Amino acid sequence: MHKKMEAILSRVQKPARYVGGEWGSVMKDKKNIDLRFAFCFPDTYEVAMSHLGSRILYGLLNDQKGIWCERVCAPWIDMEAEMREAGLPLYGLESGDPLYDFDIIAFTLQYELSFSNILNMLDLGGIPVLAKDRTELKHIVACGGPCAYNPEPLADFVDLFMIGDGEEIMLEFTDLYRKAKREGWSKQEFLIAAAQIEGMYVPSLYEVKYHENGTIESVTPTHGAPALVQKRIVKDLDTMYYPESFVVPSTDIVFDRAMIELFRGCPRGCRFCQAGHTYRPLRTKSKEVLLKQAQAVLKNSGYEEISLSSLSTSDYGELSGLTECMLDYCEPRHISLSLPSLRADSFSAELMERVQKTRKSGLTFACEAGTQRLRDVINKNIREEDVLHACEIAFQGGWNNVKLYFMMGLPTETYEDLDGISDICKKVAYCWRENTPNRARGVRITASASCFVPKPQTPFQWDAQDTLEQFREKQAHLKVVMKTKNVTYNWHDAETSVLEGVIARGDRRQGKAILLAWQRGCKMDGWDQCFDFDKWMQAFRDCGLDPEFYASRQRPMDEVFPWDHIGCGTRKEHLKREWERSREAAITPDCMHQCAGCGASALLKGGKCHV
Amino acid sequence: MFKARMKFAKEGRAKYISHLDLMHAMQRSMARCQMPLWFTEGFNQHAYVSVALPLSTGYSGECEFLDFNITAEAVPENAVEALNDVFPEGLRAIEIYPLADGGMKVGSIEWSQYRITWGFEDGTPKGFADDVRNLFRRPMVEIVKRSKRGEKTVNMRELMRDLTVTDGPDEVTAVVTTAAGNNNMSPEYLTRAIRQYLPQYEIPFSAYHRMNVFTSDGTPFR
Repeated sequence: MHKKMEAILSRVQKPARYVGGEWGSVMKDKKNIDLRFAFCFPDTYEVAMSHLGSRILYGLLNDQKGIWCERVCAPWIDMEAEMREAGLPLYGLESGDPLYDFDIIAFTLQYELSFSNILNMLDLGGIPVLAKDRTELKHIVACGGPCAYNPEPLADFVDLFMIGDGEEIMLEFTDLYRKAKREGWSKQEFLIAAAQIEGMYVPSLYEVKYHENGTIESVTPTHGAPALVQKRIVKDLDTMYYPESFVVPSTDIVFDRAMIELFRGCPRGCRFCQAGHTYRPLRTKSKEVLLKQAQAVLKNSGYEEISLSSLSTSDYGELSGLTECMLDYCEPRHISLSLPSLRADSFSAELMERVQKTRKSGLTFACEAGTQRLRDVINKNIREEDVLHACEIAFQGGWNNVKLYFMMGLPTETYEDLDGISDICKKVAYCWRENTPNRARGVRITASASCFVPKPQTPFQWDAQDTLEQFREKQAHLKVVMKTKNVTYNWHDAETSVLEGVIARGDRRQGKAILLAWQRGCKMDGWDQCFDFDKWMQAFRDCGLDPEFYASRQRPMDEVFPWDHIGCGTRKEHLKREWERSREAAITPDCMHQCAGCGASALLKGGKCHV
Repeated sequence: MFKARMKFAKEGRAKYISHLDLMHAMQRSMARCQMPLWFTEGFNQHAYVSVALPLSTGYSGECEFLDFNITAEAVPENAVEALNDVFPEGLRAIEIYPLADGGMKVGSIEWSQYRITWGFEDGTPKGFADDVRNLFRRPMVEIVKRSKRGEKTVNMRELMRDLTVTDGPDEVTAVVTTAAGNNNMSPEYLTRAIRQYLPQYEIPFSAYHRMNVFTSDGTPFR
């Protein structure tokens, strides 16, 4: 390690996150490598290392001969300042080599507020941030992940986007790149060829025309690029690549445990949920494969906890059999099992008993809205009775820590709906008093209300987001009505949600504002201590863009969206139908009961959804 | 069940692993090589491990000790190799042995031997090594020492012994034995004393490596 780096590491917070060398990290001999791949996560190490998708793709890429995939994370403010002061570039955690030594620089897009970090990481790695300033085949900047379903705000910076499941498209992409490198193609030649890979979106090959009112008139592909880039999916999760082991960080991270993925997609059609619409169709992994993978990962990582991951764990068909077998393996080894994403309507004493066997943590129920009417609008098919019934079981079982999640600012919301949040909390507190075996121990009920952000590719993509003022008035109202003893009300300032709302449904003209905001010092926007809302809004206005145009404008049903040429499997007609039903507070049954005809099953090419 | 002790080294990238994180890394490494560890039996069951005199984050060492309990009859054969196969880079098991009668008490450690490296940007300044030698030849070198009980001015000469300083082109190394345990004095105080008494020298880099630990009569701890 460089002496300068050692000196820096002795001064910064948590230096272990900057040095690599963890168990499971992959070292290779550069002599045998023809493709150096930087897997960049635009947030801190602790967040990056918690992400399951990155772990899968890291394993997949390093499984290939000739490819060395390294991890690159955003340094925290103190570290970045030291690196810039000492003139040290951002580097790969495995080799310590500067980012500019890599061929492909790939970012995963988990969250709109990490976009400024992408620019910052490129810059810190000695790579021009604008795609047009990178003229060589080296330093292709690629992106994938949930935010790629509206890639347009990043069109100025990114050369290509991989839409859909990364496992499918990744190796086709790296194969083409290696061919291009061998044969000495130009960057433009490579991009034109890459656009022919299914699921690959090359923004520079599309021309966007705008109406006078700022909305989009047309998006026209050039150079033979497809008019609709349909996402890629893994058709069979059982045969899909899954790592035998994880990188096990030598320092504390956010989700410090092993994970297995029960299924991809979600059978519920909650209308606010982007993941629920973009990960369709539902594909499940079999119990046998899950058990095998869980045992391999636990054995090879040494983790003392494993979580069953999915968008709605209780909808896994064989959940009870799976937990039974998992516990048979875990209990004698002192490994605990966690089941996140349980739905309140499926919560049973039996299931609770099983989870409790290992360690008793808090329970979290997502109610999302305060009244049945509004829950019907958002198609969160859960009733108050379900929540109270689940709480009853939990309190009787001795639990005394329950969290309730809500959203404010949902379409059609009124103050009656907000009062409903307070009512539910009151009832839960009452339920505790009636059911707890031991009142003396007290109870912790936490209600969190986040600010709703309408997301692209969902039925609410046409809806106006509440303005900052509206959010603040609602928060003030909730603070007044949430007076129940034993209930703690948590809220978060609405500014981050407003910026998220602006960028989530932005177009490529926003690139200028993102560049300007970053140049003026915006970064780590997901972290309260760094976030500067006014700077961001000023950057938009200085570029002649109105943030409200993107966030708080009710969009006409026939508007062409910046992301209409990106296919997520769910068809726009289905989203429209769902929007209309939402205005009638009409619920749509989940996929297990009745097919709503969203169109995603077409991606399985004759196959059927796993319901 | 019996008590066991591992002597290990913590070097290279691993020197940045903090004390708490090191215990987790040890527990997970032990799980990976299926060491028959004893788990606590309380509400929050976990493998019991304990580090003697944890190093400061950023220090390296080759004389570190981890105590734990084994539920088998004996230390598994090849336990050292098995652990070294699954350790993160920079951790290295040297020896694992049972502790008869509880073994040497960690509280009996009174001295630690360190290697200090002072590095320079453009070569070692002329006279640096000699000035350092002369500084610590003085019978009295007063410094302000900070501890949990507050600040205190002490004569650091009483808390150190056996200093040898070796000159090099870009760096100067010192091997020194400093007080550990109750009267602990971090080797960093030598660097501080140089900055205080020899302010003409700029020391951009300093590194600390623990070579050995001793009881009061100079017996190496094990």
